[in-house]
Amino acid sequence: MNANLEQTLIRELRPVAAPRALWDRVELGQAAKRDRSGIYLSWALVGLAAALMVATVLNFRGQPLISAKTYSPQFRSSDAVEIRGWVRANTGLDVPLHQGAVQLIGASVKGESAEVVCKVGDRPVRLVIAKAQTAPFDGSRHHVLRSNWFRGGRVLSWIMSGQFYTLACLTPGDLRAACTLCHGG
Amino acid sequence: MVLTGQDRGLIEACQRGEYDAFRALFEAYQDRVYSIALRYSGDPAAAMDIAQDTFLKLLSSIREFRAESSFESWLYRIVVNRCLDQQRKGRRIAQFFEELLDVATAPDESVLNKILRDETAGDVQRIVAQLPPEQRIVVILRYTEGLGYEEIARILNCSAGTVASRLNRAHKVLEQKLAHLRGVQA
Repeated sequence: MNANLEQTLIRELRPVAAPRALWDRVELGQAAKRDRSGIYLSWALVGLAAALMVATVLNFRGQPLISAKTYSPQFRSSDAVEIRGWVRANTGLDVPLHQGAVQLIGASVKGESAEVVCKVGDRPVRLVIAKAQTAPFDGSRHHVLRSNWFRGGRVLSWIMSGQFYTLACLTPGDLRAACTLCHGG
Repeated sequence: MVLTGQDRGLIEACQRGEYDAFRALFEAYQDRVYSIALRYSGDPAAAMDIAQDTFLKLLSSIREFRAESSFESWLYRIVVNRCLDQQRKGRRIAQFFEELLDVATAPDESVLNKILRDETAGDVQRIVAQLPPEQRIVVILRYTEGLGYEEIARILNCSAGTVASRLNRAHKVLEQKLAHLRGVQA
């Protein structure tokens, strides 16, 4: 092979430094595994949870996962207490919202599911909540089911305290900021 | 590679479940793992997923590692398998053809030259990302990690001749595409 090509490949494919966030990701993955370790996790329940996740997200589809329509909630408010009350009144779901490091925009409901929308900077974040049917996941800890890219957004799904959560945003940094929705700023 | 006494101690501590040892092992190998994942996938988010999966797999199966074998080869095998799994999931985002079209339809020679000058690592990365997985992983192990044919063969569980053949095929494709875009010619 020609030497120029070899030099180009060596130069352009050189090693790079891993992002500092990688360790956080590894720790998050370990925590998720530990959470699951004490639970009898049958394939039927996993299937049910996955089906619920898809159904929950798709209930609010009709547009890309993150889109301008995200900014048009049925109930518009920037107050965490107001949104929490509205969601509870319309679905029975209790979402422990805080003001956090995000800008709340409002909420929508569809059937027994709710969606809270907010912004991190000028980027939208969606949190979809539904009642979890999977009793073994009860408890106050996060049982992470899925974290990946889906239809153009970063999606994290978990079950906690009998409720199913799916958080969608555009960047990993937004995901971290969105945690303050429930965990405060 | 022969393990140093320090590495061997770290691995043994990991096998005993010592968390600090895992952190130290992570620190020692994170750049290599992430580099392979990034160069293979061409996508930082996918690379993070691959690297995360690799270290979680390392942690869960470190007890299966036998000290008489090469730890690096063992780790490389994990990350390579994760890369190939990622490929199967079809999560790679390739924009190469769109950008190639932009270059091909650039209005005049000066604009074309400017585009070619301005483009750097992205071109090579995207063209490498178009290679078939079995050729791409050989290219990455060869040029990102600087491994020899025998070591690559051990990691991929194939013969050195197969490695040479895949690399040769990859070189031909890369030579053709990079010559067209960047003037990489003999």
